[in-house]
Amino acid sequence: MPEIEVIFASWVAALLTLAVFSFIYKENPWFRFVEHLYIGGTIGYNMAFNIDWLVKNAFIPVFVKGQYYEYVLAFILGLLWYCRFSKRFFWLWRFPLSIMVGTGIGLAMRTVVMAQFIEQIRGTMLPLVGVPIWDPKRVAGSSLINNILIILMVIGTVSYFYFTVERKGAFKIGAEIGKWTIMLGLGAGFGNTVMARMSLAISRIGFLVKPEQQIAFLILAIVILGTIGYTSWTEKKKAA
Amino acid sequence: MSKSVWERMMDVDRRVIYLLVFILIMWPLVQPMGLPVPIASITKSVYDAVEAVPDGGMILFSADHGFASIGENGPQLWGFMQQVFDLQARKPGIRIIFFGFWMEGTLITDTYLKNLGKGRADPNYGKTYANLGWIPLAETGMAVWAADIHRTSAKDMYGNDIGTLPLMKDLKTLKDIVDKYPHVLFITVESGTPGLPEFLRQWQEPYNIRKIVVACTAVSTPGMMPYVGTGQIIGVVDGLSGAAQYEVLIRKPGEASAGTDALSMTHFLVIAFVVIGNIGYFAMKGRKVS
Repeated sequence: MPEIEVIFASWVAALLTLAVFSFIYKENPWFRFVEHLYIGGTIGYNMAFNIDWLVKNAFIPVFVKGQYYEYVLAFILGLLWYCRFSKRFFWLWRFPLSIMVGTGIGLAMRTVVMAQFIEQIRGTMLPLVGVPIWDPKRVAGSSLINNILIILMVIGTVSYFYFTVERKGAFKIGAEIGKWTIMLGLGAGFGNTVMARMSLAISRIGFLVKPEQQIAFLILAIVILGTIGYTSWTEKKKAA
Repeated sequence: MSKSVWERMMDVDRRVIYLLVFILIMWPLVQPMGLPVPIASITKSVYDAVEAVPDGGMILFSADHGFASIGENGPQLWGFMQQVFDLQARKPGIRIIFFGFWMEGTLITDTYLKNLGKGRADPNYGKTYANLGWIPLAETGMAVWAADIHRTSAKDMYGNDIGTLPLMKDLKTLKDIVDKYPHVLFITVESGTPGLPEFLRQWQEPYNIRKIVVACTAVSTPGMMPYVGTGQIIGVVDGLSGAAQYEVLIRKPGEASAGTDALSMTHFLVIAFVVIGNIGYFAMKGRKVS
């Protein structure tokens, strides 16, 4: 026999799941309640997590271990963030912001060329000899068909975004290949998006149809659908 | 004026679609159909890369996702965690460090560790594996963590000073990890930013970590494929279907395997509605032309 807390938690989880799903029918108070609860819960959780991290990693070193000097600059910059809320000292808020943005861009820029530019260019310089025509065991691996497709499609896509020359002859063919490549890419993206969204629905519906959850699911579904139906009926009656 | 059949085909009420999706998901979950789960080469590469970690190797394990994507990332994370601990049981010299750059991901990791009987109360905790918890500041956090682990993650998930953990005592930087362990595998289960591109910029290039495997939401998979092509990552576990394949590979069918029937059914439905909508569109177009 499961503990009372477990049963209560699973009923609450089923109620919240169904309340979110109720939006599919129409906007209603059940959904609105859960929406607010979710936002509030997430923000509260994030705040608590951040405060916990600060206590562990900043307050203890400063107030318990006495490492004041190492944290003075961070402490001042941290305080300056709150100048955002003052019209008079608003300008001071720009200092921590500039440091954050500058540090972030600087850190990313030092390796972005190698990690995401040169490596990708190198990835398109593929051999056309000495590779199998097609490798059924590794369909995404190196093969003559894949390599030709990658070379053609990369050149085509790049030429599609080259706007300073009129699209004529070979350049037009290249741009056309580029257009089809982009559409194929978007199609793959759409297919994966469908899969991702369905996976999320499967996860929640899978939770609702678990044997220990089915009674809660049925009772709560009737309650939610009943209340939504009743309010819709009264609204229609009033309108009439 | 009532709508024609063709117009109706292009304008199906969304509630009808949702109802059908709901039924087609629920039906195989209650009555499994056992549709086959073919293994993709990119998933097999990931499995092989994890299995190839030798005794004395290091696994860096990052959970970079939130609760919202637990439907996909949850089974992936669970599959990986079962595999790495099974691997450690077979090769006791393997060491594992868990952490995450998304705060919710670290909580999910901790829950799964508890489900595996690991974590705070386990006598091996801190010796053969450690859970450092959340590391803030996204990409900047990655760079800072790599440069000084003990200052960035001063405490582990359970509030222990990481200097007191035997595993972490001498590992002050990412370079120390790379120098001490000849084989470092990095696993990231992720659903957005910060994620792989940030790891490539802050860890792969500066510290030469070449063995990276990724499990991501299906939405992110097309964006990962160019990195597979260049060899920057070994492979990708693609969404729920990838997680199901992984469960087959580790021979531990679970939540993802149960969901694949439902996934296939809903995909049939989406294809059917795309076809119906197109038939309606072209029929209407033909009528307008005539």
